[in-house]
Amino acid sequence: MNNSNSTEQTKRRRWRPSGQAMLFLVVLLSMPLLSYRFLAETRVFMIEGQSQAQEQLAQGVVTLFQGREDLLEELPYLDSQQVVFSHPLSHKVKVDGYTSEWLDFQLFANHFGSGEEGDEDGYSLLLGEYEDRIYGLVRIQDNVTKLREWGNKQLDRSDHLRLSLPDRNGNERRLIIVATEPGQMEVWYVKDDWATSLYRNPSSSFIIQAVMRPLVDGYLVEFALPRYFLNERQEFGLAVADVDDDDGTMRHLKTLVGSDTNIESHYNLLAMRSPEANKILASLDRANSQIIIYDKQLRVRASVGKLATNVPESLQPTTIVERMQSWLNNALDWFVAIPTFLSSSQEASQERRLLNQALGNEFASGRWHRSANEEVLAVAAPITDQEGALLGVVLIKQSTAQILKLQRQAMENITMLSFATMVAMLMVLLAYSWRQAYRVQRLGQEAKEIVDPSGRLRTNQLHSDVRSTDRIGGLARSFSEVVERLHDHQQFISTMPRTLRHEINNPLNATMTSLENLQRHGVADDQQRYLDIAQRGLIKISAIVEKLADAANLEEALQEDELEPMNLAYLVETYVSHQEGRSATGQADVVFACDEAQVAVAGVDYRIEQMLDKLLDNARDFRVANSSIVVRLYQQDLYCYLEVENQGPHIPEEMQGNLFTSMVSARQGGAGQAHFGLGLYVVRMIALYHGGEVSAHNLIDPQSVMFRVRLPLLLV
Amino acid sequence: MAKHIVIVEDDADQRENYQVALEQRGYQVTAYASKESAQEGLMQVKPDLVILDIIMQDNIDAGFQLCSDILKRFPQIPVLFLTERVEEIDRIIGLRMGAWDYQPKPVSLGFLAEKVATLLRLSDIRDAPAEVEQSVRQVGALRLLEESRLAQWDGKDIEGLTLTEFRMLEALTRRPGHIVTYDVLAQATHQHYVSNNTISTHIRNIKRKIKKLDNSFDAIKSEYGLGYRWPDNS
Repeated sequence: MNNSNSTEQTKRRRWRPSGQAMLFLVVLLSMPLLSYRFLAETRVFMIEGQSQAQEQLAQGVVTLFQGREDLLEELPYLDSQQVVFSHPLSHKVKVDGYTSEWLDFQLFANHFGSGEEGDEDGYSLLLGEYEDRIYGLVRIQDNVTKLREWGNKQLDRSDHLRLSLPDRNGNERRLIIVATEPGQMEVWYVKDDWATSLYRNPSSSFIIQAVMRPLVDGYLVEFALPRYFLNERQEFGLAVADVDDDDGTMRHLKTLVGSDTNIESHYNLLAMRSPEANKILASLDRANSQIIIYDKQLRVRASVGKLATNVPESLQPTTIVERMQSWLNNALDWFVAIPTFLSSSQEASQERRLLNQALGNEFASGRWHRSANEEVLAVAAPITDQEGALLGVVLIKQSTAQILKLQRQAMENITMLSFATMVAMLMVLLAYSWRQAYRVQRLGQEAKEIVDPSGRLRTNQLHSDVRSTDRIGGLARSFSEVVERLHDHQQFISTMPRTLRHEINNPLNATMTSLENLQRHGVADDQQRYLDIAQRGLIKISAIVEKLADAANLEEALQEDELEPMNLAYLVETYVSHQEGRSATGQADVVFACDEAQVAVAGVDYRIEQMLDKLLDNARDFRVANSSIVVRLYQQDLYCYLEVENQGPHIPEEMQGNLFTSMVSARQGGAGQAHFGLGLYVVRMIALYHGGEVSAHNLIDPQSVMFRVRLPLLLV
Repeated sequence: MAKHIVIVEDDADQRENYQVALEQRGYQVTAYASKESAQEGLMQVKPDLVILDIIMQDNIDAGFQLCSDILKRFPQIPVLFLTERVEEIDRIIGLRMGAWDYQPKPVSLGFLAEKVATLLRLSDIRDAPAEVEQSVRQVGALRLLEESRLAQWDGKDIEGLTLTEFRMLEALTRRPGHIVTYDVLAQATHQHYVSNNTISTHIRNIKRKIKKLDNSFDAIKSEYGLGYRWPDNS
């Protein structure tokens, strides 16, 4: 029961620091988490606010355009000229003859020629604008495409596009766009006859670009020109000239189809955003928001602002700080970013859905992710006239990129701050732990060092941390108190024999001298016997006291001795040879076994002799009657081993641990010589003084006990 | 005229026993029970020998202090410490203060009387060396002056040799080449019980003292487990 309790306490103690560390970690980690939650809530709040503001803005715009049929119903400058609508493009078009950028506007294409799509000699035209350039996509149906032949100066002898661009002074600029081969087309400024070239727009120039791509049923021309080429009325004329020689004659202009289908070089109007509507909207321009006014046909009539294109930064991090920021960004992306976002076509579809709802006279709103880091809020509202008839639609798109950017920056700051705080706190914690560990280690080391090899305290107090006021200080003080008490006790034990001798010697001396005086005065014969017994008893007491005091003083006395080179083999051999006793069976009392003539050690001969006295006394006390004691000496590696072996009972296991401790004896009490368990203690002290050690071993067959003293050899 | 011996011993029983034993041997004995009473008594008279206990009442160094006082006044007086303080350091302190010998308790009264006689004889010899016929024994380089209990090595006095050590040397050299057992050597200490180790310590001290005169001294051989031997040829 006690064991299980102590085990539980140990577990609790073992877990306590880890529990504290875990709590500390949880508190540390909760800081950025709570901050993130706060930011997320703030973001939701801000986006909701933004959404509401956007709705109110839409209402405002609707109010502004309510009843403005002049802006929405009829396009400006309308007379006999046909209007070609220029669609606002969301990004720059690559002039390459492919239609990928135009897919959203295919439905708005203007058809010219026969008036039916797919007919020979007809063409469709799509115009768009992005920033300061006008883009055009012309799809021409032509059974046979005639390319311009090299060297033919007559530009009207091949299929070509005619472009009329009146400047602001009313002068007309005429350009022919003609292809010599699929790909880049030539752009020529021509005279009024539409045949003679004035000069050619350099092909290296990007002022006017045109690319031709053949199709199965004709060809496609994609072109771009600067907006400033148009005059104030934004007039332009475009005609497609189909040149054939299918009747076997020279090439000649077969058909000429203008954008104004009736009159050659009659200008069309490029219907772009309404300047008036744009002016109205200009005051509503906001960063990262776009307001677009559509007419009933969903043609953009006015727009203001734009959503910033979210171009991911692709710079490779070079410095460690940048690399860390990059890792942090990636981590934040994982943490903050919305995993699914819409492609541009899906986005257009979403927009179209909102616009359709608005066309149905409904207020519509939507929200989608443009990219991982940007959400778009969109609102579409119908614009009506006074009678409630639909005039157009307003679409307001607003990006939350700014909010997300702010949130991201805040997250970065919080993360960096939290990380720095955690690192700082961990450093502090680490330093604190290291300091505590160092203190505990120092305390442990000091505690270890206060005990000498013989297990006695060297000092009566600890010095490490005893003045500290914390728990380790308390522990050190408690331990120091224990050491002090132990030391006092040790002092008492060690001085006890001497004190005992001091205290006993006086009465002993008084008694012995009294007996001597008594004897000198003369006693009766029958009393003399008792006098002798009393004297023998006193001598025994004297011997006991002397032995106790000798053992107590041994360590101190050993310090007086000087180690000298000596031949241990000679010493032991001589010693054994002087053990003259023989058993009743005629066996030698002590047998010496040694193959070495010379075993050099550094020692004190009479101390080793004293050690042998004690070992042989011990062996004699425990040996089987009449058996010999074997004294063995041998060398192995850097040591010599002196063994004293006697047949006899084994040393009880429970005694083996403290057999060499003072006052421990396995002897049974008796009336013979007094035994205080000092003999083997003396052996150990002498062995230790010689840099060796002593051990006891139980042997079997025959049952015997062997004491082995290991001493270092003297290396010359 | 009887020699006057002063005994300073705080234990009344021992004091009386010493006094009786010595008086029976013809000495005039004055016994004091304390340092103070002894100091007062010694102001009146100059004794021939003083026997001092060291610990008296609560003063653990009373004997040493008294010895110092006595030898300041009477430098030639033999002082014998008879004490229960038997540590080596106490022995050294006592002898360095000028005491002639240091006898641990318990002591045989017979040995005490013999020691007292020896010390008085030595004192007489030192007072009038010419009147004493010295019995000299020469063993190799060792010369023992039996009457004055002095020992010389190669003609030089062996400094600081105690009476016990002189007796041991005497016992060792009585039959050079023969082993002198621990038991025989123990008798030279004039103590009831002496361990082999105590004898070995005395032998070590003798060797050290002679080695101060001759570093190559090696004339005392250990007969391990039995005793010591002075070689025949030393």
